[in-house]
Amino acid sequence: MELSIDRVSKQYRNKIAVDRVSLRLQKGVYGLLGANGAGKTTLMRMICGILKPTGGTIAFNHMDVSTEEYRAVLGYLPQDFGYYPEFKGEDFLFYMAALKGLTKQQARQKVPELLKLVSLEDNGKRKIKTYSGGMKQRLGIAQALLNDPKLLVLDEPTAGLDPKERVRFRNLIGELGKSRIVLLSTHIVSDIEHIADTVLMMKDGQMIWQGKWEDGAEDLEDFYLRQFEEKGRGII
Amino acid sequence: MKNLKTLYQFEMKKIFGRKIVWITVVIMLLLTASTVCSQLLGTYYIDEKKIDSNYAIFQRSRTYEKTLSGRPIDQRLLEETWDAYGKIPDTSGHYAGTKEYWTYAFPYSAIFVFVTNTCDMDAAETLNWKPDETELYAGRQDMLENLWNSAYLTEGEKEYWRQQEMSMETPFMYAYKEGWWMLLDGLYTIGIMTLLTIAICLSSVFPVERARKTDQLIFCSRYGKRTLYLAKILAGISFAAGTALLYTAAAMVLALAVYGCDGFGAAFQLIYPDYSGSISVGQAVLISYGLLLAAAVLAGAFVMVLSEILRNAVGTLAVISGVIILSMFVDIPYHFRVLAQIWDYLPSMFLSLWNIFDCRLVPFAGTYLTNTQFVPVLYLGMAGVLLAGGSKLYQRHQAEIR
Repeated sequence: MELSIDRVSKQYRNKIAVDRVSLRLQKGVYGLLGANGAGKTTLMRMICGILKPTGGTIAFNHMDVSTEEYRAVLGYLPQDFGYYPEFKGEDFLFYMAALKGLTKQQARQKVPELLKLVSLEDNGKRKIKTYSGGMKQRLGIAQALLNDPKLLVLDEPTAGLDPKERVRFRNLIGELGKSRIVLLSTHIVSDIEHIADTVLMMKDGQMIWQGKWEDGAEDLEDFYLRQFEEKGRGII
Repeated sequence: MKNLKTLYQFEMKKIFGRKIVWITVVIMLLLTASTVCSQLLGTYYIDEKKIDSNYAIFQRSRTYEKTLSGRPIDQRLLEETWDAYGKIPDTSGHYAGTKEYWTYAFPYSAIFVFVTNTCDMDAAETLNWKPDETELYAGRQDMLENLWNSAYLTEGEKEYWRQQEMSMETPFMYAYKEGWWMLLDGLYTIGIMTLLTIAICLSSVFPVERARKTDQLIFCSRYGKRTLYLAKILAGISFAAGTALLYTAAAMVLALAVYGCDGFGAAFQLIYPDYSGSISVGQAVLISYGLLLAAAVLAGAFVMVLSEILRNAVGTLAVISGVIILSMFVDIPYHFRVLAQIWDYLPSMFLSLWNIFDCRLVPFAGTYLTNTQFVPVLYLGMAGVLLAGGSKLYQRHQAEIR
């Protein structure tokens, strides 16, 4: 199982959002850190195939990012996304299940499981417009897991969750990382410190650091801040 | 395609989940009802003098027309009509205010109006006309030749229509046909209402995903590209066709319930003497509303593809409304033959009696196609091309950061 990102770039008119990023990710949890505008979301969108890179290639087990096969193994939780307010929570999951290629039978089995996993089992029949921000975020996490993805991309997954839920999801993500590639981005350094096997840091569209973060090593937050103070690039 | 049916059902749910859809459909249904029944409402005045309620006049008219039904419009009936009209005193054209008109002439007014339209005369000319069956049908031929010349028909087209004329039987048999006539008369309004409903309800099918930022979820899903596009298109086209069928059914049920179903087999020329084909009034109604269905499919495809190009529902609605309004005010003269003919094929122009049964033809493989033969193929073909182009555009969609 390997996600191969080879010299991927995204250039807008006057700005390079992502600059020749190359990565090879295997099973495990990868925490992506970076300031606002560092290019994290752009990179994640390109990995999810919803934004076309200006250059470079992305493939999972040799399946190109643009193929249906690639999308079949992908789960994605965007940072900021909407819902269909007129849908009930479970309708939304059934719709996403159909989009992800689950049969009706599979969906009927999977939807209650996931609603329970994200503690929404009592709210599945309520319209999404009545959900709180945290409930919507949990529903978003549930949809990302519908197809039991081999590659799970989570953009700020704990945003909007209360502290108790955040801890619960950190543990869940840790569990998920045992059998798949999980790439998550967050501003909360402690989230990454607790669950990421590998830390990735981005600045100005470039990957400025990547490596394992061992327990008991230097405080990640201090290290993270120091990387951004450094002027030079190419620390990797 | 796997899950197409499920995705289609969800897309329909999305369309019908919007309040604006229900509000629009209810308002348009009320307007359809008023279009069909408008002539029964209110009071009939002549020179500010109340004659009767419109409904009472309609009832009398229906009784008289039913009395005339089944009679050929021949010398005998023409003489009866002019005898009756001859009892009206000289009023310098204001004969409708006289007692004699309502007593003697009104029972024959349908025949009088038929002659007026058929020979392209005004009321005063018709009053002075000497009843003559031969002259009536010859006058119709003259009227048609003038019409064909003014429409800049080629000699081949004129010959085509002359052949059609030869297959028609005269004298025409009079028939009461008010229900079917009201459907043809209301077609333009019902057509505009259908197009507006489609524009209002379908202009957000694609842009709403971008506006709600759900496009990010859709486009990274296995079936979020080709299958979902097809599901959205099928839902949109079904909605468009369903709208046309709903308004058609509402208009038909109401018109035929109020005015009656009589006259389905009557000659179309009783309503529209400009046409030379041998069809009945009922057939003309079915053809016209069939064309409304084809126009709805094209409009549905156009609205959805335009909204994908503009990525904006309000912009799409503005463009469609602009085209509809423009088509109401812009009329290209007949002497710009090709341009005028193409302009009249715009669905907002075309859905009218005079355009559907227009005399201008389309040359095809050594013969000619009438509008009723050519336009359905044109509309459905254009819808197919638009949807194929829209598919390519949709597959290239990117979820830019916003």
